Amino acid sequence: MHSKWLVLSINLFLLAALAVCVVWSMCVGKYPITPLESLQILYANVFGLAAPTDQMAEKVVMGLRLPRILAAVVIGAALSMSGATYQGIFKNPLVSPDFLGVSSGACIGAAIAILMSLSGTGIQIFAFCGGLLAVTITVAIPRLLKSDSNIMLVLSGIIVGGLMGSLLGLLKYIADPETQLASIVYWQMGSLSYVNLPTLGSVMPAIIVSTIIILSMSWWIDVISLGERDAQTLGVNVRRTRNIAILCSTLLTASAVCVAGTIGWLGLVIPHFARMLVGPENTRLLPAAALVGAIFLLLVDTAARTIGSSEMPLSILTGIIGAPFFAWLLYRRRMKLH
Amino acid sequence: MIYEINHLSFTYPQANRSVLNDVSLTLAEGAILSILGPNGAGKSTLLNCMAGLLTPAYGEIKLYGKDLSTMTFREIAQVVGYVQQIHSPAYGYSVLHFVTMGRAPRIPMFGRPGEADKKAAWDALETLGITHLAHKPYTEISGGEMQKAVIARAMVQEPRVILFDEPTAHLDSGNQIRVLNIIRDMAERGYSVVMTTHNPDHALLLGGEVAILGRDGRLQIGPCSEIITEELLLEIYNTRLCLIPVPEVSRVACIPPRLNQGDQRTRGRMNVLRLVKPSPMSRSIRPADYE
Repeated sequence: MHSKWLVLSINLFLLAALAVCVVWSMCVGKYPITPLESLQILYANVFGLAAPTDQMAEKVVMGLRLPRILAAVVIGAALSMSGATYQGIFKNPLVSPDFLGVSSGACIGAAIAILMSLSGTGIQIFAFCGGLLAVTITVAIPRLLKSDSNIMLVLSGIIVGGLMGSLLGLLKYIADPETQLASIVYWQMGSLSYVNLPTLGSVMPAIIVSTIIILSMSWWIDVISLGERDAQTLGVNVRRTRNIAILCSTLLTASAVCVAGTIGWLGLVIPHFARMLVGPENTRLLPAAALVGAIFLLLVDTAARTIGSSEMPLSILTGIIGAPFFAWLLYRRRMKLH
Repeated sequence: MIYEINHLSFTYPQANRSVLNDVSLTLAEGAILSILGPNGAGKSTLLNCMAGLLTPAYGEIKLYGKDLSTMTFREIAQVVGYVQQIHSPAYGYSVLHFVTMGRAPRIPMFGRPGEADKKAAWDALETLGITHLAHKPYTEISGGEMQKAVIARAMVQEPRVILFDEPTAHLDSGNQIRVLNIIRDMAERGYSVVMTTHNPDHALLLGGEVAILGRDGRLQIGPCSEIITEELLLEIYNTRLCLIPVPEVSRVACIPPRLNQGDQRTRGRMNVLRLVKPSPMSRSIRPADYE
């Protein structure tokens, strides 16, 4: 088990690593900039000082790279916390925003909003409702079958995910190929290439409020993760507490989908990785998972825009890294059980 | 009175099976009550009703004079500790963290345990002699150690009564006796104790009152020495169990006779044994033998 100081130093190390990654990401790309230069630009802009000499470098850093970096950090953190929260309240380490169908539900909501030619806020509301509807169905199926097993919830997630996938196919089929289809596909594959500060700013209130609520109830997520009966005998109103947690983590996922579309594997794998670093207690896990997720998505997004000549969708890279990592986790768990 | 239960009946709606039938009992402050009964008679159901986890179809449960169905989980948890049958949780929280969760009914919503709560958890670990496990993952300790951790968690709730659902199930002989000793010890510290068990001998060891939940869902309750008789044991378990005073341990023990399966000679001898007149050892049990 980990002492308080070890956990604190791990978090400080992650924070430092994140800072290094941010600077690195500001520098690399088709227009390379030295780290010193990028820091000067950042410093000058934050404190409103005189513009540095290279106008082009400033445009690249402040106009293109920094919004992407901020979006990657925020969305990586949001998806990881969302995944960790779902895993806690369902006392099931095998669930995540994508496995529960939340991501695809939110994606459908966004697609419907696009078909109705709605604006940013409209897309956000539809994405949230779609995600919430999906997770409600996923949780309802094991209840109807009166099964409490971990596998049943995962299977139910697959059912809902499959259904949402077909619905999304239908929406793509009826979408206008000239205008709407491309943006739906963009949403489905996950990308940060069209991110701008206003879009990110519009989801920030939802993300900040959900994060504060989830962090302040993190100890209670531990109690609920003991199981419904145990938590009730400890005086917890399980239904109410769990619903608050589901609302907040669905809001986090839906906000992430609004900005970057669906990014798979992150919400499943990052909490496991963070658990290996700081242990399973959610008071420690949630902040660490947020930092690890931020670093991971930033690295992946930087890779997506620098590898090859054209942009690579994020889900391709997260899948290539996430799937083998999850297989390794399962292997490790099995080894421990025997 | 801590508990006053009147005319309680419970039916599982999906199975359309009624398990408790007009059950009434009272539990006084500091009392020990063991609940015996065959498989499926509803022992756990009764405890779940008493903990407020299940709502009975008929009848009422009063906790300190207050109707249980009007109380919140939090109000109940401040008075009632419930040691359910142990199960392995999904995450390997440290034993200390696990035990600290027993403070939940006394921590405000959205709050976190403070130093005083952690101290209370540590004291409970000390009482049960498991401080060496404090930083071990709960998923990696033995069944007996888990049972002690769950009991410690119930203690830090600071309840008035602790319900134990088959606390000795899945434990080896040594741990069974250790857990019974802990339960006895807790009764001496002033907690009221309700325990379900499959082993009538454990009820005899613990003493106090005994409730028998029959196949028809009816409950008989009384002092251990009056309720547990060989006739009743035969009726509950459909098999012969003997009550024998054992001078070496100065108590009455409940033990099964020799197994009657196997070769015919053994079975024949058993019949002979039944025909001989009762030896002083197998005379009927008088209440004095229980002392």
